[in-house]
Amino acid sequence: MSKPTDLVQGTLDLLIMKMLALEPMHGWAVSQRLKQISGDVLQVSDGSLYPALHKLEQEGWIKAEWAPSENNRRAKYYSLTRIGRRELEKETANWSRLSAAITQVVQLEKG
Amino acid sequence: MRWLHTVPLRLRSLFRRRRVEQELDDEIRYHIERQAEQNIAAGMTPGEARYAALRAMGGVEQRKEECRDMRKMHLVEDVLRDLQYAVRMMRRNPGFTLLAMLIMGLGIGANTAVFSVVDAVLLKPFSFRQPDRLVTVWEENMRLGYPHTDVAAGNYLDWKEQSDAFEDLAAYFGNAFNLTGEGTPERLDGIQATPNLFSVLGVKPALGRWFNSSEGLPGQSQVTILSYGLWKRKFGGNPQIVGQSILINDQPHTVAGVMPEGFEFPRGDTQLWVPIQFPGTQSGSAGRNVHLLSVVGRLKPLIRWQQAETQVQTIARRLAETYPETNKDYGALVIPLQQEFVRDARLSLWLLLAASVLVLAIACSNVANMLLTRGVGRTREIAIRSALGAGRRRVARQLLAEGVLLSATACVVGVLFAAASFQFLDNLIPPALSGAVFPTVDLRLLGFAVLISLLSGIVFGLAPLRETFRVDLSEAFRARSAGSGVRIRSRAFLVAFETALAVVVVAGTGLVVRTIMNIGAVDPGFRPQNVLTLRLELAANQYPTIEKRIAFYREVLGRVHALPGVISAGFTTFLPYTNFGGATGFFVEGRSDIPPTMVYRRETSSEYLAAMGVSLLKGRWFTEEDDRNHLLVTIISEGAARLLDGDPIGRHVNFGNPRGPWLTVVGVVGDMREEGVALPSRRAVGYTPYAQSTEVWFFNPRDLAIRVQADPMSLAAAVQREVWGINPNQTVAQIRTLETILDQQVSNRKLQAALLSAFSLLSISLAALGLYALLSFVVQARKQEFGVRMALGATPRQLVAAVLRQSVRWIGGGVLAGLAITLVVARSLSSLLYGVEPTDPLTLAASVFLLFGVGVSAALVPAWRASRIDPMTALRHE
Repeated sequence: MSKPTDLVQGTLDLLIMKMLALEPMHGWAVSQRLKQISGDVLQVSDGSLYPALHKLEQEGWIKAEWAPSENNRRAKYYSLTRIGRRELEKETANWSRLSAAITQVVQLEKG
Repeated sequence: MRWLHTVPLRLRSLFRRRRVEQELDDEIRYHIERQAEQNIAAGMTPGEARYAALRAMGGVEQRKEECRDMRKMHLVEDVLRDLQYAVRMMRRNPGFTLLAMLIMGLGIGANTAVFSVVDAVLLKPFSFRQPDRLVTVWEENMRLGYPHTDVAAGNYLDWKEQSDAFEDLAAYFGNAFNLTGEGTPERLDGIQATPNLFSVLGVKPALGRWFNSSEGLPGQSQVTILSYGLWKRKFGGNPQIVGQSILINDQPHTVAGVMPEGFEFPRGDTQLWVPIQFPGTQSGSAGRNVHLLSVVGRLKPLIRWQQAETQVQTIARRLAETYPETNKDYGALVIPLQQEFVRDARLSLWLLLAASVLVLAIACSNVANMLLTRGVGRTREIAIRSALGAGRRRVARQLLAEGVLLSATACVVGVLFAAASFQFLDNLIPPALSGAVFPTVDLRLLGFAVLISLLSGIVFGLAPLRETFRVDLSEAFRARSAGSGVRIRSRAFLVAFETALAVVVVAGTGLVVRTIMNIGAVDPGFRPQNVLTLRLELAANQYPTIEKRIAFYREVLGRVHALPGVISAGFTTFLPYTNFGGATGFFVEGRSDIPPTMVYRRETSSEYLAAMGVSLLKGRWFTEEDDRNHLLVTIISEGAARLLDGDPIGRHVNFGNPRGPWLTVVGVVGDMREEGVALPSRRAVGYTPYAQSTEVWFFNPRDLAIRVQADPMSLAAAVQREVWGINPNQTVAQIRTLETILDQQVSNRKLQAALLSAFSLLSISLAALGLYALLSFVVQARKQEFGVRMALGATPRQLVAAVLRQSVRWIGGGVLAGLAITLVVARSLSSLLYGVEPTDPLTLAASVFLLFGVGVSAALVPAWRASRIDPMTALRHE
């Protein structure tokens, strides 16, 4: 069974939370936005998106609400909670540190 | 504060499951639809668009399952679902469920009932504070043959002073007290105890106070503490009783307190406690010569009873050196109180518990077998579940849920069953504790029941598992594979196992039943039928002289004789089994070479021995002539006569005094079993006529035996009336028949045998049922084979033989294994048995044949069915 391992562990969570920090979105919109912004670089399958969303919801970092969508059907909108926002800040800082460190190491090898 | 978000979510996914599932469904569908719309917009056909959207998702059901996993409640959910499913399975097979529940309920109930008594008697000890720190201390004199004897007051005081192993040591002895001035006069069994007894036991009175340290000394005001039962019965539970004065032995005693309900020390019939102390007994030989006291002590923390024993033994050795006159050869021993109080009951209770565990094991394997058989029917179902992706653990959990649910319902049945049986279990409680401990339904009991139910549920729930997984999936799907691939080895093993355990239970029961038969067949030395007995304890102040006593005995006997239906009547010091004390040294004139021997001494009226139905072996009975104006005479029992060489008649003997005065032996009677029907009396008996007694003392008669023509108890009221006609303040106690006294010797053995018989019956039936079910299954499964054999010319007789041969193999294996187990474990029963060896060949053979016979009978019906198979129908199915 394929698990959401397409991305570095935890990266998908970070991306989702970052997007939801801008505005509440439903799952399909998140998938569209992910495709848009990361293009072909990050392959996020639709399959791995929903388990990730549900996990974040169960962790209490995002919350869900049913609301009418653009085409007037009811969709499940996710938004960041207060503790989700704190988690995002923490994870963002972690990510910066990690990517900076990796960049450094990678460049070191090249040089 | 994360839980503020997460807890409601978890609860929601648990309790609003349908809603949550619906939402998950909607959410995914919304995504698919939007994606499909987008794909159509990009130029795909609707069909293609939808397919592409689904493919992008990568398996909708799997994704959903992953989302469900995120809820972290799936374990709980699964368990709930398993249980739900199990309930459905149970309801679909009500017959199976009911039978399994009943079998398990009986097994669990039997265990719980027996455990309740074991718990009450052995594990949950008394109401004493830290009862495991309490010990009893005894003296012993192996040279005189007393391994365990009462303590002399002087020695007790020395132990108390010189030992530092005990927080405190208390001493007491039983006595009987006359309570007068409160309605009918009563003779009460009570205790004279050192004032510290209650603090040593660590039990506070329900009302009032403990004795204080000066009470019990001569010259102090007299006090008493009442038992709860006496307080309720005699004083109507009057809360103002403390401080009031009551008449005990015609002396005013102030009531200091009332003990709580259930406190009954040292015996169930102890009704009051009076303080006593022993000043000055350490000096002078009298304080070390009279061995009267029971001693109970509380160990200091961290001291083991063995250490305490070493210490009192050292002190005893020192005392033996200091006071050789009195203490030579006297040692000491310490026994934990709990052990002391339950003695023989311990082993017989463990035996019952062991038997009930065996019954449970049989019940478990039986239900396991039923599940196995049903499991085969469910092979297809489980195969389908496996094919649909249910892992082994998932299937195992499902089976487990069914097992546990079954055992949980059986647990309820079992607890109800146990609670209903409590009233029958009274007799299993040793008499020393009766009234003080009761089996009750409490948390411990429920805990025990739940534990064994759970264990059995797991055992028989998982039993079918191995079988189930051995099934080849492809084979399971082939419609007609029902019989061919069936493995019966594990089921045959279970049946043999049941048979083996049943043999053990039946053999154990057989041994106990034979013990009871042997005891019943023992000649107690007297004829117990149609004898009324009662105890008339004479108060020292009302009958201060021997003359007054003799006059009283005469008057009572005269009046009793005048009652209709009385054949004979007689007084004695103690009836058999009612007191193990009252022994004195036996001395023979001119024979200082005879080693010191203790004999029971009984002062009797002339007719007593005849009324008891004792046989006169030599010489004559006592007559009314044998009074103080005539020759001092005695009748001795056979055992005492053996101590004399030659003809005992006319020999001169004395009880208690090596220098005489000498009594002439005029008769020899058969030995009565004084101490218990199951053991020959350790001591012989010397009888003397009370009319020749010169002192008011311990040996004066108190027990009256009246042989009558008809029902003895019908005379009880009349006898009581006559006694009160002589002295309205005279106590009349322990009115019962001689047969009742004898019966008490075996009553707990009888109950034990009844329980064991029930267990045996249960195990035999279960084993037979197991075998029957398995053979029926086998015959059904081999139907085609039998059909073919018949078509090829096999006779029905040959088919019957084939089935029987198979069953004989299983039963035979089980029976032999059971025999082997019995031979190994039966030895531990030997102290419970009487007149039968633990490996008694007759009992063992009977058990083996019984099980074998029952097994073969259980096999007959399936075997017969095999012979009735119609080859045409059987083959048509092919």
